[in-house]
Amino acid sequence: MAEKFRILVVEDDPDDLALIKMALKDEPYEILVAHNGKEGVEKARAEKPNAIVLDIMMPEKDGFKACEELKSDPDCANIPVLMLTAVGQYFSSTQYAVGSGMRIEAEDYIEKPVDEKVLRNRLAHFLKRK
Amino acid sequence: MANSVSILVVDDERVVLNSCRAILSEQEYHVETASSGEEGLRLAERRAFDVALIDLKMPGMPGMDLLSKLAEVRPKTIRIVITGFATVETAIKAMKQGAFEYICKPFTPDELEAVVGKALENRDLREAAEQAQREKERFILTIYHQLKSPVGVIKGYVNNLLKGVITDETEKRNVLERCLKRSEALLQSLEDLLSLSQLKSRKIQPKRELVKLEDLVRCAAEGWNVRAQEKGIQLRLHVDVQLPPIVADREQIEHLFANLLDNALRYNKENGSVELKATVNRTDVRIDLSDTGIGIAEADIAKIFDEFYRCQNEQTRSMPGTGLGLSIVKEIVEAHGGRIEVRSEIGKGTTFTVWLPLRD
Repeated sequence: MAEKFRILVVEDDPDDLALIKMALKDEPYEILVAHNGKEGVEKARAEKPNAIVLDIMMPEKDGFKACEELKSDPDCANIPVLMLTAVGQYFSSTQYAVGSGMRIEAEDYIEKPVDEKVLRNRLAHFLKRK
Repeated sequence: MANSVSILVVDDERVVLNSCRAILSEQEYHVETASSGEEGLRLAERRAFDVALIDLKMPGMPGMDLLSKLAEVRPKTIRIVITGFATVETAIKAMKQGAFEYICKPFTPDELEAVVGKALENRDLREAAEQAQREKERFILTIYHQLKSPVGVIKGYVNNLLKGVITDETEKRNVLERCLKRSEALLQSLEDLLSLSQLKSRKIQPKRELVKLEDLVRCAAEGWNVRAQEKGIQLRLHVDVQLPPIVADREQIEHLFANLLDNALRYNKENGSVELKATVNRTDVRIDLSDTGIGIAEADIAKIFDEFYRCQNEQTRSMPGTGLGLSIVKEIVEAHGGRIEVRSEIGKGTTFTVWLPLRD
């Protein structure tokens, strides 16, 4: 059963976005794109993707707020969210620490720059569960 | 009087309390007195004193007890111990337990002032050191984030090129151009960081040279014009004939104009224009630099001079920028005793106005 999964990528940096697309080039995914948190939440609600790759640092609504909204929306709450964090785990005092993200219940976190294998494996893992 | 230093003096001898109050009030310190350890503790609980002078030998609650209670209740209050020659050993014990200094009875006004002054200076230095440490940590974190982003991107692209993931020739070229753009932005970031750091530490002393603004601006415009032409952008200069030279740091003023002109070009529309007006009045030279660019949203205007602040919207998203250019401009302007303001309308353009004093 070769089902094409739909992945929504929410990322404002055009280079980071291009790299994510390259990483997922050979996967059986249809890639949807949003350029900021606001657009991301709207698209997620409209398109109901199978998974969401969500950057944290974005204009118009950052990843944390977007994730919070999606997880409190019963229609979207069960869509697995992978957050992309640019700041390492060492600096837990910052707003964008992985630690503080944990409270918002994203399914997983990947550090930027994104390791392609890690991204592919994590997505495959979440999509198999469904 | 908001910054008035407050001092608590605790001693069972009225004479000591009165003389301390007299001596310290001359320094415009706010002084409160207590004649017992219990009373002293009560006063300290009600108010966060900067300094507490505590007699070691008191009836009732011993001085040492008050010292340890104070350390718990008001850890930030600097504790100074008043002792007699017979009890110096105890005073030293008190210092080992966190008292800052001791003073021996009978003491002269000079001695009292000196020890209190020393305590306050020590506190100021300590706070400055802690503040500097916090700023350093914040700075390092920001740099880490600023630099990791472009390097990660370049690495990703190079990796994909090497692996042969990108087959299309146009896409290859595009990716290489992105690598170039991101590296250039990264190098510029580093230059700006260094500039800003140097400006901040040298802030007190910009060089004092006679700078002819008109010459300087024309010079800056020459190099800039080449790039501007590629975008079809014209620079119009209107300089007051009577523009006198100002006393300024030439290199810094050049940097100032370079940054403002750079922005005026970068955020401008194709075939737009940039206008530089320089006028003079009795006290200042005034420079208005206007562009027909994308403008700055009202929400961003308040933060536009903040370090690393970048407006984030559709147009700026793919433009490299360090967010330091305007911070540097502001530092330079202020180091020269000047002022800078910005006015803008989204979609129409922006005007930066700089005032530089004619004399300092």
